[in-house]
Amino acid sequence: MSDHNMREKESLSALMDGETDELEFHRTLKVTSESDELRDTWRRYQLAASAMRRDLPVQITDYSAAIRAALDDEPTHGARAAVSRMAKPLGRFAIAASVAALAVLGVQQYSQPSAVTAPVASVDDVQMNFVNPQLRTAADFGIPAVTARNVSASTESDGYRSPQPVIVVQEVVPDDVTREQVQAYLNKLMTRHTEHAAFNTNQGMLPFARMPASQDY
Amino acid sequence: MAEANRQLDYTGIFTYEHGGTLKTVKVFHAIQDDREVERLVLLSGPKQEILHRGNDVNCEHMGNAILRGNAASLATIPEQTLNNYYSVQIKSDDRVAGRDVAVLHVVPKDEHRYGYVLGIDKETGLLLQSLLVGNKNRVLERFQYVDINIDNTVNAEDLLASSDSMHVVSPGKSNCLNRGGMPDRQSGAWRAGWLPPGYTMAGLELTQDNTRETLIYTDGLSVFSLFIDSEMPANLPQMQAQRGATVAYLSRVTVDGRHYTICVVGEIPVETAKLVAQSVSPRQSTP
Repeated sequence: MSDHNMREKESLSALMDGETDELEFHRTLKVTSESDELRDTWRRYQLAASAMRRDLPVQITDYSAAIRAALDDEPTHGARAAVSRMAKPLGRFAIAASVAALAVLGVQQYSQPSAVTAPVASVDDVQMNFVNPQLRTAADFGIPAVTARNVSASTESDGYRSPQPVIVVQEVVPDDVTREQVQAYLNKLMTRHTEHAAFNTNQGMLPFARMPASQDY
Repeated sequence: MAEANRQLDYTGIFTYEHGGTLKTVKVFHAIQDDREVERLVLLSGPKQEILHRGNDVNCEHMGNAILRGNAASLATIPEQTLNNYYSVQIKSDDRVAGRDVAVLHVVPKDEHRYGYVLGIDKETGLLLQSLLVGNKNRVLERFQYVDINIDNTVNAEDLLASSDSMHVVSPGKSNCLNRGGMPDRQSGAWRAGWLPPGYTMAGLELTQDNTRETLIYTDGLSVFSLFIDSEMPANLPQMQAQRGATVAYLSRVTVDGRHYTICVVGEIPVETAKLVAQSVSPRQSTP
């Protein structure tokens, strides 16, 4: 390897580390763009850096940015054709994409503004209501807390909405009812409902799949 | 599909995901003495089993009847056929759990119900995959077999509960259709003044101490339950909750100084649940 190339690689390394001034930055980019070997080196540095970053929280932010971009695209599809889009070939892909987004974002899904009907409750208003201590921590209604944490790790910009608690309280009446009582009551009713559904829907195992896990009682 | 789900023997493992959580469940399904017996074992999370004995072949439920189109109520309410409320399209073929399935898109014709993408086993008609599609094509839940053995003899011991954490489900006898094709008991103390079009009452239940009345409605695909409870404290907050595809809308009414909790639970849009809950009233002025 020539001394020249060696020196350029050192420049590249410095650039990776953010240790170059602006003049050097532009010079290195120009030289790199003109040399296959340097471009390969640049790629290897990037790969190595990505591998090292993998354990860092910053990776979560990167990930959610991609998801957020995918979500931002969604209203475009939805507004255009609503449900009839299911019928088109593209629909299957869109649905698959939604599932992927759902798996990561979880509790955020209901905070999306509805295109068809007026919002049932203004989501932001509802969130304000959660200062009420008794019903605040509704996020554990069948959703692991870790999901909510990951989501909130991303930024609030670009129209991103904060994670939505799964129990949405429309009108909080401050009194002696605890969150546990409400949750236990709702779980009881949901369990009864899945039983009714099991005898009436002919969807085989599906209604049972919806039954709340015993830890939720 | 309805018949296949009930009359075949099979064992398998399915996954169920909603809102970022994934459950894996092992299932044993068999027909014993003309009765459907199912045992579901949760493989992830807390230990739990569901044992489901029931569906006597002599007991027909409203959901079945609507799917086959022979409930008496179909005669009295002519527009009440599934095709009026959903458009069903057979889409491409796919593979689920290593088996060939036909993909069906069930698209609702109004905003009062959800849509489905169903994967039906081509050989047996068994439901192997179901995606529930809500507003703006958002998938609210996904149910899908990972592995299944159909017409595999199920050992009797596999249908016995193996742990204490078991939930036994038995059929509500009162909800079998009678000879007139209607649920046996139809009139309780309460009524829903408004129902989404196409929904028919499928059953009525009263707790033993008469504190809770439950009305069950179905359009043949989705089901919602309406609970009227006089036992919960009157100061329960008005709220709505959602888990996967299941919503609960809770509100209160006061009749003659007595407080009642009204709760609608089902796989329906929350706006629909709210409309139903708000229309509930006692049959007479004093229930």
